[in-house]
Amino acid sequence: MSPPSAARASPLRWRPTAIGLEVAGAVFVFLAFALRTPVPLFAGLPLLAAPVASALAGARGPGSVDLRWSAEGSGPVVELSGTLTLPPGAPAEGLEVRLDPPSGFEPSAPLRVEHDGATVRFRTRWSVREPTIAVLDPPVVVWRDPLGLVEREVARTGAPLPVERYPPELLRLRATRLERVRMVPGETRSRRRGTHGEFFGLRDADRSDPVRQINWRATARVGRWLANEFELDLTGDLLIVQDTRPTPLGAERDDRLLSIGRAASLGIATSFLREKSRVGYAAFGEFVGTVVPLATGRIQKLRLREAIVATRRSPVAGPGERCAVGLSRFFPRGVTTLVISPAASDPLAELPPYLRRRGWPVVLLSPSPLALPGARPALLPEDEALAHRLERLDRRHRLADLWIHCPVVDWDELWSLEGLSLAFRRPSRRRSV
Amino acid sequence: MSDSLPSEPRPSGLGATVLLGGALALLGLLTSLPYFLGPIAGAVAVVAAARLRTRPGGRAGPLALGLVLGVLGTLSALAPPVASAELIAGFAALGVLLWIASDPSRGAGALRQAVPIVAIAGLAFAVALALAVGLPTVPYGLGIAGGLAAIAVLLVGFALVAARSGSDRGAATA
Repeated sequence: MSPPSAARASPLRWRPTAIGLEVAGAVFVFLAFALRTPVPLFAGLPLLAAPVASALAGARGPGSVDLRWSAEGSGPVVELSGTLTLPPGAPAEGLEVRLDPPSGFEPSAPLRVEHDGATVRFRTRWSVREPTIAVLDPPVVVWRDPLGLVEREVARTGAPLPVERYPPELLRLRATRLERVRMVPGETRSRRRGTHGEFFGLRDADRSDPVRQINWRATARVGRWLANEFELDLTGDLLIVQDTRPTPLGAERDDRLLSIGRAASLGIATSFLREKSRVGYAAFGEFVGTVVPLATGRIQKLRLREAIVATRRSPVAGPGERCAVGLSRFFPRGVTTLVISPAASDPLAELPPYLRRRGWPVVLLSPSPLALPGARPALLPEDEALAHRLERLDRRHRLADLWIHCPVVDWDELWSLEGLSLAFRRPSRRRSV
Repeated sequence: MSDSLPSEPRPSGLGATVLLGGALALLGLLTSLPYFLGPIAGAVAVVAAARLRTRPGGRAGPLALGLVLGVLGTLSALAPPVASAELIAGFAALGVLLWIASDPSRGAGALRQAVPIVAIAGLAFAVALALAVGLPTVPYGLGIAGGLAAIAVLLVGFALVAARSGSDRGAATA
């Protein structure tokens, strides 16, 4: 995300209405000369003079405005609201806000702009079709004269706004014990201390300590209140591998599936980072491109966010073996690995087996192309139903073959990730989730 | 979503519509069209344009303006070359400007703020009309020249203001 920026003010621009008035005035003058009557000339004179007068006598608008805006809502709803604060004494009249939704967002309510003294407030509501992460550019602020004949872009401060929408089940993933799907559990030790887990040591008791945490024997022996301190349970490390290889589905659907996968990556990473787990990230296209080594903390969250947002579809597909070899240079074997891939073709489905053979316990999260609305060209209703059944059968067959190697989550309900939570908790159960 | 925000008053545009309709109807009366076709055309055009620009979506606004300007041009071309027709045609053109300013899609107060702009346009028209018909011995060509001179003065003023706003912008972004 780029730092707050101030857009440069632009010069006055003629609007189509002004051009229309000038053209009409010119036509009136032509009529006057053609018909040898002065009446159209007098009718055209105010029309010719108005745009010039508007630029000459109209208010200039504020030099710059300060933008504060935010995104609220949950699930597919994105509610945007903001305030433009004007310099003291600057007129708020004539200010307009232009906010266009980026790809994947659709306006579900009109943009409402309210002028209130020295501030201008705006609100709108968008909806997203599927889980996504996006960085919204600040709205364009334009001053327009009272007649709407000239306009000028107003300089404004304000930062791009990140919007993240992913299934709410991801917030419950932090309760998952990753060791259950790990071949070799417990490679890292948590530095967190708490009220449960392995015994760590003694410390002076605090008033907020529960009675059960007081070590009565030690207290009696030493003569002052002592409490037990525990080392919190480890949740293990997690490596997220985003498959960015192209599929036979086409660029448009690939981009949408990748956008869904990126949203899941960020949501899952954020959820586990809250529990101090170490999370790493890698994007695999032709080669292992973007890599964020295992780490935890707020800085790691920022690193992951930048890497995930910057992940793009690769034009060339690399072999799955190359990914497994490449990952071994950055990540230790045994780390629980979540592969996010549509697995829409046999070469793409080869990635989890290769990773497993190299020593990574894999869980495959596969965003389903069948869940994308409008993904297929229009067919007759009976053909549509038949095509849907065939596609579903083909996909189930391909994913069923992968169950030999790893738990597979067929993510066909895009606003729910209950299946992933089940796969983490019961990885050994070989049934479709 | 927008319930928490007070609804901002919007101009109805009724006054400017009536003014423009009256001016066009008067101009139509002066034409030689039979069966009161002139005033009827003027009034109907203004009513239709007012309905067009209040349609949701706001995409019919240019069409409404084009309709009004078309009728204004037609009636002024058909009007006899007398001083009253010139006066009414000019007032009708100023009415068009006020009608634009009272667009319901614009915020409240736009009509009030547009008065200085319309006044300048009216001043140019008044100068031209005074030169053309106010002085009995002055021919029409002088009126035309006066109008063009008024536009030239406005253009010079605009150039000066544009240069000033450029320097202000440089200071604002420095």
